[in-house]
Amino acid sequence: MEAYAKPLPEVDEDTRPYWEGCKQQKLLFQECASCGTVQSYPRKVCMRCMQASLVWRESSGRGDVYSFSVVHRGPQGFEDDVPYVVAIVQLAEGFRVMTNIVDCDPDSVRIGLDVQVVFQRINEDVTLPKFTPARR
Amino acid sequence: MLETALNRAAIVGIGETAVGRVPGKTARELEVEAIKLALDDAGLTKDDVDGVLTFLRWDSGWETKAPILAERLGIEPVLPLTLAFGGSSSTALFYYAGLLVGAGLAEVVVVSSSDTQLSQGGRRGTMQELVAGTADPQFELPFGVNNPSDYALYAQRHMYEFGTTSEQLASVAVTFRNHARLHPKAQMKDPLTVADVLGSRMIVSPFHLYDCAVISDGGWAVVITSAERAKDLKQKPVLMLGAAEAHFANWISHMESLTTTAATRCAAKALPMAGVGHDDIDVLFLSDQFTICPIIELEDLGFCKKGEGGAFVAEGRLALGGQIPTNTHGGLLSYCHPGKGQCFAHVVEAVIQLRGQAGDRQVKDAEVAYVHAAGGTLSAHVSLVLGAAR
Repeated sequence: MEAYAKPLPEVDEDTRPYWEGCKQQKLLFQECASCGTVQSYPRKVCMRCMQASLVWRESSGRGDVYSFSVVHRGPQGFEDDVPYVVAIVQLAEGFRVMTNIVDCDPDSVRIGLDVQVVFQRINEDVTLPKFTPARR
Repeated sequence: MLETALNRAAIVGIGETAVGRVPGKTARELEVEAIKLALDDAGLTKDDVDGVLTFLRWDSGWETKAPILAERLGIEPVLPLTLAFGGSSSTALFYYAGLLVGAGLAEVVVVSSSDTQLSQGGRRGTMQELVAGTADPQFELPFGVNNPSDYALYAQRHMYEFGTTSEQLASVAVTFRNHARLHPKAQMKDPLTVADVLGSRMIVSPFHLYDCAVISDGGWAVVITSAERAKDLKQKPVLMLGAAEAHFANWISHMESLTTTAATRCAAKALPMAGVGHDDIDVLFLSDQFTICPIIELEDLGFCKKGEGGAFVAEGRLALGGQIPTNTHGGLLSYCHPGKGQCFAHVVEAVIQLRGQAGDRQVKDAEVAYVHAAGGTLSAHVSLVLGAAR
């Protein structure tokens, strides 16, 4: 098999639960037990109240496209994938992630499109959360 | 006007090397050349200089550190500062230099920048650096984002919320190309129409090739000293009337909004500091790395209402002779874009306009200029208000 030539996340102590969740097909996010703030990438403290009282929740994986772009000239490692869709997805629970919209015609993607998380296993350490148009 | 340390400072010298494709020179050579030009322009020598402000460039990493640059020039600085937070660092350094001089911590500060993205960086390699620097390595880069796709996310959202059109985006590129055609040094001088922009190949939707800035080589330097000392120097001084800086989130996926940026805070601070209103601005400079940028900046800085930026440009209001002539040198889209030096040429052109030295591009009786730099992914914002000394 060809080596995977694209950038991979360098997992650290704060973010390990998130990436472990992806490996188990679960999209996790942090919620502050003190003030209820939901934050999009894992941190040590709440971005709003700075309390360390963060708890992990599992997202429904449902959301919609907040914005997107169809990439026709991609960075190194992605040359053969064009055209592909880069998107920011707003999850039902209120956080956002950068991702790809996959398994659909790139030209069919619109802002507001309902999407559902799918997990793409890259190797034994990394699984990436991507999104596909939600089934009706 | 609010009395601050900043408005005790003035820009007294500018230096700019050849720009565009400048083969056979390293960025270091270009930077030294620009500093020499700027000191000559001011009528000062390197022995007058006690502050050296520069920033990391794409092509040579740590070598750009201010103490190394000072050593190369034989300057013994009290204040060598190296900044690196994206393209708007270029404009932030003028703000900091003005504060340092105004507070009496340094007497003559040289702010400089250079890069050789086009000739030496290698298009592909340089763009990889750009990507790595402007996206979250853990939560964004694995998805194949690049600098153009980040800005495309802003554009798509703006089009969705406000009905901004591809034709309006194209009109930004056309307006600034028309200005570049009047500048002898501009990198892009061929005529450009809205149809040309829309007919150029798609890079990342909705951006066609001509919605994107060029990549360039070049070196710049600006000399700043006290307004008092400026009175006795060679050139008509340009006073630093106001400035402001603001950052919301750093990475684009953590921006609360992709249609309203931290630029809103800049104008709200810089204009009152300068004691001027929007109607007093004679010539405007905006970050235009992609055509969506000036549209959002016009709105956030308060030159038009939110959502109306596209129409504002398409109506010709930014053209020379229009309501508020903008990027009279041609901007990043057509004059040049040297990477981290981003808006250096904007500031140099603002000084040229306020001195009345812009020739065919001169805005008549230009007395107040507003420069806004937006770097990173519209994440780092810096405004400067500059005024001609009376």
